[in-house]
Amino acid sequence: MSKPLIRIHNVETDEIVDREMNDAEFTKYQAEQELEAQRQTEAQAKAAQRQALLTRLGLTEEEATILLGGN
Amino acid sequence: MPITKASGNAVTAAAKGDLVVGSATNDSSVLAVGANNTVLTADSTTATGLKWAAPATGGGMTLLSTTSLSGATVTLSSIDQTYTHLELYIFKYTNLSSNGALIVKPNGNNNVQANGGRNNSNSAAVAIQTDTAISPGWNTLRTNADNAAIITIYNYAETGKHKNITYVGGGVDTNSAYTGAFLSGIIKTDDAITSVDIFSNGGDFNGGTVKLYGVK
Repeated sequence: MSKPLIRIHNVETDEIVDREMNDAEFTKYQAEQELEAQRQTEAQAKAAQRQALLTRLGLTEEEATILLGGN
Repeated sequence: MPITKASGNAVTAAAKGDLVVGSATNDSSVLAVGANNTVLTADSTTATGLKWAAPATGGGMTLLSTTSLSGATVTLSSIDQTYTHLELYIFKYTNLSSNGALIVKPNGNNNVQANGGRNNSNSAAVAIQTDTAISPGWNTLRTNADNAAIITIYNYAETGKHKNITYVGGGVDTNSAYTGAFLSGIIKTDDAITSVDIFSNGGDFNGGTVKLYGVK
């Protein structure tokens, strides 16, 4: 199975190289994908928690913003 | 054509661009034209009190590179270390997947500590990022929107100090969620920033451009 492509632009020489990631780059890339996916899942969970809390309190998003002093 | 001085011998301005200038009380001489794009500059150490010199450069931005976003990751390497700050303008970026957030890693490392704000029309949240890349943390890769971001890295060439970084961006994701984000933080390295990685967590780029500027 081929690995994702990486583009490397040497700013000094203006040379652009497109090639497959090597093993180390691919491992790093996969870890980064997982980290970002986890971060988004956490953000979505927090947003859902917030919405559930607002629903329980009977508040709209706008009312919550006013209550917390936001704009 | 000879020019008669107030006293002494005549001088001849015979060549294109020659100037006759005073070189002492009641004396003058010819100053030959300088190289192309040089400017006449006062210099008391020369015989005429003048010289041709390259114009002084002031502040401003210099375009260092323009790169089309392609593949899974784009790395800008061997960045010139003679500027004060770096600015990355990333615009019209999209990817092949329905999900994906733009991610920027100075020196390819996860060592940014950043706090900021983000508003998404589907949910509002504050992004707090620790030991990671800098990213709006939300999908902003809709294909029919001009997703864009500006990332500034301050004093990037300094060693022995951490660097400040800011991110300002906005876009529309494939669920029509409109997102704006501002992040500010620290790159926790004492090393100079010599490269920057740009990628998304939603797969390969499907368009977009990054312009790298050096700022004096």
